[in-house]
Order: sequence, then C-alpha cells, then structure tokens
Amino acid sequence: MAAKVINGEQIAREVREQLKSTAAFLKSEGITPGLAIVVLKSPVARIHVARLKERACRQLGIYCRVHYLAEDTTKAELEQLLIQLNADPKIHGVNIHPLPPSFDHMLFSQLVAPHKDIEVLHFLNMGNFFRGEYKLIPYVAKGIMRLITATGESLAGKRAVVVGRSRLVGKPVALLLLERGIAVSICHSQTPDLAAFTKKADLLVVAAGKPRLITQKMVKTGAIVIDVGVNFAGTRLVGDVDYWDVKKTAGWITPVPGGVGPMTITMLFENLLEAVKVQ
Amino acid sequence: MPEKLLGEEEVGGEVQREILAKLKSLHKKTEQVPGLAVIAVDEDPTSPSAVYGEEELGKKLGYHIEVHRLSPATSAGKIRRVIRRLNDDEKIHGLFCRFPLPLHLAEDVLKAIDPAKDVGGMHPLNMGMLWGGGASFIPCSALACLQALEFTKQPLHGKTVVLLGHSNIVSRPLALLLLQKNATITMCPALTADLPEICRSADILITEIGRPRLIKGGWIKPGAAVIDAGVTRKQDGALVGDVVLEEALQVAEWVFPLAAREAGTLVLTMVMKNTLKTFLSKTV
Repeated sequence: MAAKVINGEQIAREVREQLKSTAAFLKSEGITPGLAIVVLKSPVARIHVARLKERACRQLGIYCRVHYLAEDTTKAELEQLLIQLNADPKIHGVNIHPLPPSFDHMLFSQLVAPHKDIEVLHFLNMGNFFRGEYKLIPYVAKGIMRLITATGESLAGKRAVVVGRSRLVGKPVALLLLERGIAVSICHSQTPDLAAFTKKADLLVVAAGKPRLITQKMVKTGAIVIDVGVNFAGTRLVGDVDYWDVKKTAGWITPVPGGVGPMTITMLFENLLEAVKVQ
Repeated sequence: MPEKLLGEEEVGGEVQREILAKLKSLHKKTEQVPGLAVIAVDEDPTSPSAVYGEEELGKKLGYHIEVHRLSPATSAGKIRRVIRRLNDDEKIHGLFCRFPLPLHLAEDVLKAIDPAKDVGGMHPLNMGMLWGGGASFIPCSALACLQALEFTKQPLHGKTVVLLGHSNIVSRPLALLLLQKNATITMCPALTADLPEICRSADILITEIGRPRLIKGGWIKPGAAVIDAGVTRKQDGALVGDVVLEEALQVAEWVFPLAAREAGTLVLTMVMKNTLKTFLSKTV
C-alpha cells in the first residue's frame, strides 16, 4: 500500500490560523508582534523569501520590517543595526538572512539579544535548548516535530533515525525525539553502512543535502519518512528521498516541495510569538 | 581477545603527568600557580561528595585550591555573592561546583559562574558553544569519558556508539563530541524493548542510566569498548554500576567503570586540565 502523504502546506495553514488568533489576542492587549528581517544583498541573501515573509506577516497581523542593506555594507554597520534592533521596542524578534561568505554568520548571531533570537542561534539559547529548557526551539526542527505529530501515529517504543548532523536540523530533531522517550540514531556522511540504520527506523528524518539518497530498499515498510532535503536537479526541486520509489512501501511521507518547507517559515513566526510572550 | 579493565588512576595518571610537565616548563617564567575554587553545597562531610579529594589532587599537581563549603540552607543570593567574589578573584582560574547540587540552587549556581572560569563546563553559554561548534569548556564528566576512549587509542571515525541515558553532563555532550569525531550515535533515553539488540550493535557502549547490573555480557558486542558511568547506591552503601562487570570483561576489549569505583578522580583531573587552560591563557 502506498504511503499517505503528510501535507505540509495544509498543516502550515492550520498552524497559521492559530498564530493569527494569537497575534490578534496580543494586539487586543496592546502589543503588536514585530519582526525585523535583515537582508544584506548578495547572491545568497534569498531576497524573494524575505518578500514572502513580509506578505505572510501582513496576513497574520505581525508588524514586519525588512532592512535591505547594500552590498558594500561594512561589518560595523551591520553590528550597529543589530544593536539598534535590540533596543527597538517595536521589534520582538530578529531574523538575519544568509550573509555573504566574508561575514561570520554565527558571530553576528551572537550580537542579537538572546530574548529576540527567534532563530535560536545565540549560544545562550542553544545551550539552554541543549540542556533541555525548551523555551525557544530551533524552528526547522520544531516544524518537523509538528509534521510527525500530525500523522497521529504513536511513537512509543519506536526507533528513529536522523540522517544529517547539522545544528539547525539533525541534532535538534534528535534531541526533541529523545525528549519524547524514543531511541534515536544520528547518521551522517561518514556512517559506513547507512542502510543498516535506516532499515530499522520506524521514523526516518533525512537532512543530508544529497538528492535522492534514500531509496525504497533502505526504508522499513510502514515507516514515517520526513524529507528535509532541498536540492535542485536541473531546475526541479528534489528532496533527499527518492519520493516515488519510497512512497510505494512507507507508511507516511513528506513531499518536496510541500512538506517541511512550508512549516519552516511558519515556525519562525511561532517562535516570534513565543518571544513576545517571554518579553 | 585481550580484555582490559581500565582504571581511573591509569587514564587520569596520564593526564596528570601532562599537567605536571606543562607546569614544570612554565616554572621558569612565572611564580603563579593555577587556582581552583570548589563550591560544595553539602551538610554531611562524610557524604561521598566530600571524598572527592580536590585538595590532595591539587597538592600533587601544585595548584592553589580553595574549597568553599556551604550548607544547603544557604540562600541563593548568598551563593551568588560568594561566586561573584571568586569570579573577580585573580588567583582563581577555575570555579567548579560539586554535583549533585540541591535542585533549588542548581540554576542559580550554574548561571552565576563566569563562563570564562567555568571549568566544569556546565554554564548554558559553554554548552551552547559546544553545540554551536565554538571553543568552550566541555562538561567534565563527558570529557572524562572521552579521555578514557582516547586512552584506548582506538579510532572513533565511523564507529557505532550507543549511549544509554540523556543527561546534559554525560550523554548529550558526548554525543556532540563523538559526532564531531565522525562516529555514528544512537541515544536511548529509557528502557526500550529492543535495548539488548541496540547495545549489541555498539562498537562503543556508554551507559549512565542508573540501573544496577542491567547490561549483561550477552548485550555486548565482542571486542567493544564499554564505559559504565551509571551509579546506584545500594542499601549497604556500596556503589554499583549499570554493567555486570565480570561478564563484560569476558566479552569486551575495554571496560571502564567510571562511577562505581573511587568516585570522580578522573572527572576531577579533567577539571584540573580545564583550569590549566584558563591559567595558561591568563599568564602566558
């Protein structure tokens, strides 16, 4: 039997409805949630995504301000802007778009005030998350957990395998699963026999950045498969999972696009609203 | 297969010799010595935390050691004041808290310690840097386990590691450290049905789950390295680990019972090593 599809678009829409009512409630209390997006123009800056976020904010009732910085912006100028945003009472969360390679992104993330660090990139927030204080949760991982929950499957006694060890996806997803009492394996490019692990997984989360890495024979029948991959095959967007192949025998599967992607931005907004509540 | 029981003295001894050699080479340049302050919140001086032996080890290595003993009835504000004074004290290069701390004080104590002197590696900022990949102090218990693994000289690259437990002082930081070394990690937070099978897949098995003698010989892959950081106190006061030691020794290549023996010598040695690190950054 073919796998059921986890519809990220639809789940994200449902979450956004909740966010809209939370934002409306906050507004009735006299607080308009405010997001600042910092876009330093460069080929990696994802300007179109900033526009999407801006539009989504309008729909949700969130105040959004995009700071477009010119290509020749200096490090000192960027630092100055972040300090301003930290002090700005209208802004509750800061989102820095990918910076050009000459800028150390992690370094600039440390300049964002921890309570406005909705991306959970400040070491203090990472440390608190790591220690099991779940105030702010890395948002991509959070979206993945929502998709898993949406299947309605019980995870008790199940085994999970995460492919990929990034600090934004692989590692935080593993910690969140661990917190639910599930045995989790973290595999990566240096794992000698990947299939030996993935075949045992009742829940498989793939964030390896390798197009169609996971094929049907690597997946346990009936497994939940979450594909975090975003790769381009020519002009087509493909995931890390060979979708049509794996779909034949898996229990649940996320499509690419339309799976993890739509959840990701939504969870950034959710973190913003969490940050407002804390502030 | 040659079986081997690793002792803390063996692993710790190697590190201590390195520390002594380093200090000796520095002796010509400076009269200063590394300073470590220990915060001990306990009321019973005969409790196991009181036999840690910071003073003895400090003496052996030539450190300046201060042990500040506080009663659990001490207010959080008072503890913060003590820590703040030590944070500012130039003689003190490292500040370490004995564990376990009373729960109501733990957060205050951990967060009051200057991250730059946090030689126990417990401050959230240091944990975040470990997570984010920055340089930092690593939680000393995890560091002790890693030191034991490195002592065996086995390559970690591509190995299968199974961690039983998910504490933020042993399993979680170890998972990060071993991932950095390209091992594949499986973490089991609780007792799952297929635990024996999961354990048998491990080239390196590390447990801190606190279930006396849970892990039988048959759960261990022949030739594996086993670190037993689990510790349970029996009614007669004896400490017992998670692994059935006599069985494990039949199967494993290396067995390192960390906690069930003389508590904490190696962990303390790692604290000393971290203290040396801050001392060197301040004086050289």
